[in-house]
Amino acid sequence: MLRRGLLVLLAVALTVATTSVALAAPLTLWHAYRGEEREALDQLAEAWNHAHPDAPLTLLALPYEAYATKLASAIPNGNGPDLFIFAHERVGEWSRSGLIAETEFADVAARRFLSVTLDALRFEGKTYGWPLAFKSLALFVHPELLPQTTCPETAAAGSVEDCTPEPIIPATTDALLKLCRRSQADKRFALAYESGSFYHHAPWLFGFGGGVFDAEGRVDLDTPENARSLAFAAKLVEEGCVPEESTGSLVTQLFNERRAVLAINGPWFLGELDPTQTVRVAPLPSVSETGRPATPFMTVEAVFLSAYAANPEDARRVAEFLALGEGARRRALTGRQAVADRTVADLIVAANDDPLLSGFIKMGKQAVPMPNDPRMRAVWEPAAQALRQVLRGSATPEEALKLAQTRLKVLTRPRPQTQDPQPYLIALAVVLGILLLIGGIVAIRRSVFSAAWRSKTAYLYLIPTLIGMGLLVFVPFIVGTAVAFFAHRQGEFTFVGFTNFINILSSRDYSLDDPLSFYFTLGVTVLWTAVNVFLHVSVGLGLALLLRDPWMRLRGLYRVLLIVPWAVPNYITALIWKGLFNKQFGAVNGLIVWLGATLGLDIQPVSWFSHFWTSFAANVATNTWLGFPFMMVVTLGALQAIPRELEEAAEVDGAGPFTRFFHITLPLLRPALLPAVILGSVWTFNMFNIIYLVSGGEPDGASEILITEAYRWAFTRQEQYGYAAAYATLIFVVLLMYSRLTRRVVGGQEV
Amino acid sequence: MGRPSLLKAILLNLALMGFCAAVLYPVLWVIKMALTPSQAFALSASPFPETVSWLNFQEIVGQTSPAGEWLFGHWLFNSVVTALATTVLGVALATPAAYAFSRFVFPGRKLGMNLFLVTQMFPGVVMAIPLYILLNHLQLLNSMLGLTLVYATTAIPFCVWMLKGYFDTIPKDLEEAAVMDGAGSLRIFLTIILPLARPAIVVTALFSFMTAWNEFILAATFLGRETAFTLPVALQRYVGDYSTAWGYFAAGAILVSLPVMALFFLLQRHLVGGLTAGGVKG
Amino acid sequence: MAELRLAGVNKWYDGKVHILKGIDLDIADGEFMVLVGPSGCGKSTLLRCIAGLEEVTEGDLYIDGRRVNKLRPKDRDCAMVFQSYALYPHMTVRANMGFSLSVAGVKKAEIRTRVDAAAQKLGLSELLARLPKQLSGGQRQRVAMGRAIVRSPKVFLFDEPLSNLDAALRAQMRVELKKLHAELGATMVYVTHDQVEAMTLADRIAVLEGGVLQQVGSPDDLYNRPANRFVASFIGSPRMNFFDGEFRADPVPGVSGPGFELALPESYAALDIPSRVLVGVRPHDLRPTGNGAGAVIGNLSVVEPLGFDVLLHGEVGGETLVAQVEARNAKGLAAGKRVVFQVERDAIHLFDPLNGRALRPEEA
Repeated sequence: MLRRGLLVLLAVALTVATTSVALAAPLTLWHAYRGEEREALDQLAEAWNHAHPDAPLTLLALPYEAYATKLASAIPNGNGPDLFIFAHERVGEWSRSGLIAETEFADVAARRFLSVTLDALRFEGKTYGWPLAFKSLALFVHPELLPQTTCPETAAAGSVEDCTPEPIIPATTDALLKLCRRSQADKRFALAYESGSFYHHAPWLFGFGGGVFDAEGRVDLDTPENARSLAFAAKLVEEGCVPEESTGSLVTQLFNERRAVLAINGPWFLGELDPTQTVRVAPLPSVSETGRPATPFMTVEAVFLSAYAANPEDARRVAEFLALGEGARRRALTGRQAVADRTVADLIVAANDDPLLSGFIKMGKQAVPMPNDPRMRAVWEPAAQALRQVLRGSATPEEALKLAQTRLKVLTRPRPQTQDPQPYLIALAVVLGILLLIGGIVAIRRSVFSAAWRSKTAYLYLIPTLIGMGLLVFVPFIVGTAVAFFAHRQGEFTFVGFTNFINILSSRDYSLDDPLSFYFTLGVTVLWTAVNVFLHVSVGLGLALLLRDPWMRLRGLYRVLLIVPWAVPNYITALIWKGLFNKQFGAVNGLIVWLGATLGLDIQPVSWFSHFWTSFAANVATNTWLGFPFMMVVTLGALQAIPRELEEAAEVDGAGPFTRFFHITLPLLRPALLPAVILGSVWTFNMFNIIYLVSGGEPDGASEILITEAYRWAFTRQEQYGYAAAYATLIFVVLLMYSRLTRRVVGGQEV
Repeated sequence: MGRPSLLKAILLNLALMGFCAAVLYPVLWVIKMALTPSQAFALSASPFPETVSWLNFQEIVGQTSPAGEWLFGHWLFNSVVTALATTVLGVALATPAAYAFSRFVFPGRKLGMNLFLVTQMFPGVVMAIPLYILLNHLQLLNSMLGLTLVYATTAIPFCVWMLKGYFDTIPKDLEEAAVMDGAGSLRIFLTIILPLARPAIVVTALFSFMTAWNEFILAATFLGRETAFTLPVALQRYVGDYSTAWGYFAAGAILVSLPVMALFFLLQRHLVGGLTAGGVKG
Repeated sequence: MAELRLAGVNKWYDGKVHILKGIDLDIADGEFMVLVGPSGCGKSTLLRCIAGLEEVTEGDLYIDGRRVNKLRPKDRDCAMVFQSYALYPHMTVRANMGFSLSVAGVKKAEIRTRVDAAAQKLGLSELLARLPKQLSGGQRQRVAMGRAIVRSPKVFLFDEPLSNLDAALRAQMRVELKKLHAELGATMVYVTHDQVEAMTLADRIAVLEGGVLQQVGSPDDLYNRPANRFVASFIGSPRMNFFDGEFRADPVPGVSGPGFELALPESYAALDIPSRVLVGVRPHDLRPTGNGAGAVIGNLSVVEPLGFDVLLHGEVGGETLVAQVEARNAKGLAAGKRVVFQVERDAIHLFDPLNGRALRPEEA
């Protein structure tokens, strides 16, 4: 019974198909488009609804951040859309987990798409979805900053109009390097691109003849070609061609301020360009060493048909309407998409009303579809780590790739052996039974039941909360924990018993001092928590002590201003902090260098995210900024309750300010601060946003904490939910031990 | 501890102003991005906008659905309703629970308090999908009620802890006096304890409000209609996988934080008094 | 108006701490009963048991002949005045006083008149609109009292109600309380650790120590005929002097020890008294002059003039001694002097040194 119960719960949790069979239901389509693309889609939906009042289409734009999770939870539960638009890279996963339905194209229809876009949607011989548009990186150019062609002097005076000087866009990497030297003289970067992102590096990778999969389809990063591409990327930075530590925002800014002549970026960049400047889009240069063109990944955005769609027939018609013909035209004209409809794409290029878009459409010929193999999703992290190691000079390309390959092996390791859940369930039942029995005996011995009956009023006060919490917190928690006993690969869960826990705790995959091992991360997490809580409390306490003095005229104002960090959503401020810590352009380094110069010292800018301690410090600074207001307010409140006479008495007794603080004020504050400190440390322990957004685990995953590791296992490493859940469970256990420990340290005192 | 010398006061004020400036620097950035018509993330040292334009705000506030509904109005309404409902529910559930923990000795009291703390330790990563399924079975997806329930249960443990700390400081005599005056438990709770705990209730209310007001992942996962979204969900749509429309996002972030700041400002007296005013015993 | 009866009342905390041990006590209708004892003796617990704030573990509690052990406080019809006054800080004086009536569902108009009447009685009429924090200590105390009076309960319970007041105010309130009792004629149970309060207010006093009822009696009884050493030392200020001594029945009853030699009334001869006894003499029974039937020879160390009286501190045979004498009889007495004190026979108390019980001939 128990076994069935648990399995049912899991089945419900993860795969149950409760298809809703409402026939005349309106069609729904989900997407994460915004701006022009969304406008185009809205127009199309309107057009469709006008023409097909019998099958109305409703659109829903979702935040990208929550989109994939929402699809994965909504579709199998029958709440998903009929159609949804997504990039093609998850086709493999979704096909295996049965989320999407196959598309059977009529030959005629298939031939209307660029074949490369259909290739992207093929997985294990089947095609899923209708390709809408493709996106790849291309070269953005400030034409006027480039050397220009000179008109032949022999030209007749009358033919001058035929010869307007043309900018010479570097067509090879050698030409690019030459441009670097020229631009440096003008204090410009020749090129700006997100050099630390593997996606942006991919053009060089393929240009040097490298790749991700070898001839047999195995993932192989450790190749000489890949190494050469990494060395080239490092060279670009070293020679000052490319800014250090570029982020997307930095690239935008440098290019918009004309401090970078070229930029490698995708079509989304169009919306961020300074509209007052003339910009061109050109193909990426080819690599001089190999003669191959730099080949970016192509992402194909497609509209997918949910396997649970209530009305697949109409949904198909909508999909085709959006993908081809008028749909494609509208998306190209209004949405500025490089559409997958061959005819429309050709027309757009021929008309050249939108040269930038034409540039991207042409780039499509040079790009390769991003592999939709589920294993690809495990490649990004180790590959990017290798890339960044090489860029900051902490490893040679060969070493870095070798390490990446071993890490990749861990991430793509086969699913652990499936085990028979029966013994576990029996053991669980036995343990629960024994616990119940012991609990019951103890309860009867200590006459707990009669005591409970006598305090029934207390329970009455608690019941509503307990029901709510039990249902909405504990049930999901138990389900979540149960997942830790499963392994998840491509939509399929298998029971593996304690394997996940054993692998994590025995540090099977990494040596203990590897930044990715559980114990290293645990150590970092504990340190992170301790340092942060200490700083929160001391900064908060210090400010509170200053702000309570009645002679402080402006204290009301300070109090309000200092609370601001608490009120602003931390997602946005965390990213701003990341910007502040940029090596070349961040305000923090600006200040340090300026201070150094003022004091006559030669201080080099700090590369904050290249070393563990500086990276850690950057995270801590951000989190302290976010966290001190809470402690300040708590302390201010507590201070108000301390009678001033106590401190005055101590002062009369001759105690100095420090003695007074440590012997009078602090001990009196303790009871008030303690719960805040305990809650604060639990929150800090699980402070996901800061680590994820500020350091992103740099360098090399060393500044990662447990919760971000769990997240990576769940969402960026092949969706190993089971492993992630095991991490989460361990986090829980660690925190539980911590709270026990604090209680002991605090000693009997109730907190 | 009298008034310090003028020099010391000036120095202290200068130091505090410097500190405030440093604290506000990143916030000024948000304002700058919101007021700059470009969608780029500008990284110059100056946190002051070069041009001032309300375009970003207009875009956020002026959105309409294809059916002509004023979306911002819907979102604002949903956010306000959800946040207020969360506040009411959270406080309504947390105060009696905290009262029970503070005033009654009953089997399971310690365990209960620990369980509340423990819920703060569940990493959110493992909760989203199970919660979705649960709400689905309860037919509460897509409803403000479902969202409110989830938010309230998230906020309750903090509220219970803080309120219990405060209740602990209310003298027991008062309740005994009320008992002698013939009042029953519920009446004591409602007419004696609640009015006395007002500062703490204000704080926990504010906290519940913020929990609901800023959350977007769960809201986006549970809500399936554009007119049902809350503000943060709508706002988060400006963050894409490749790039973010910073101008809109910043403008939205400001719109989202303004009510919270206003609440902080209005309630700051209570806030300071309430968080743990009484936490110090004797 | 009610009588109160406690029969074999026992109270354990958590089944471990035995705080009240077999209390038997009858309080008559309209009686002013004071429970007195040192802190921790269980007197407050006893009061709270009567109030219903604590449960009686064993034994029976009757109000007006009705067993109330299981009755909730509000059904016992007792009013209580707390040491801290426990005024509701967020309610005005009027609301504080009227709270119990509004809980009981009394009509607003009636609450008004009854509160007004009680306020009149206590001189609070001007203060009805104020909040407790706007009142002085004495005024708060009155409000607390008023809150009890308004209800006209069967029994008034006071838990050290005057201990937060300064000495002058305390004295004044004592008088007022006594007047109030006379006026209302209600049964009152009053807990204090201050024996002066106990003596002045009580019709009868119950002395508690270690959870055991030591003696119940009128102030006069307790003072003049303490049942044991504890009561003897607890009641009376300054406290009784004790000396170890030897009893002899022949030829006339008397006790002696280092530094003293005292004669006892004849009636002691008939008693079975152990040879080693504890001798108690109250400070004002020690007279520096006059003809006592024995003497105590003390060496003075400190002389404290109190105006009418003088307190003489010294030692007798190694034990401390305090004597209270009229100033006019104490002329010439100074520290370092040796004094011979006379003691009346009837003023001598004997106690069994083993169990502290008083050794005293039966009253005639």
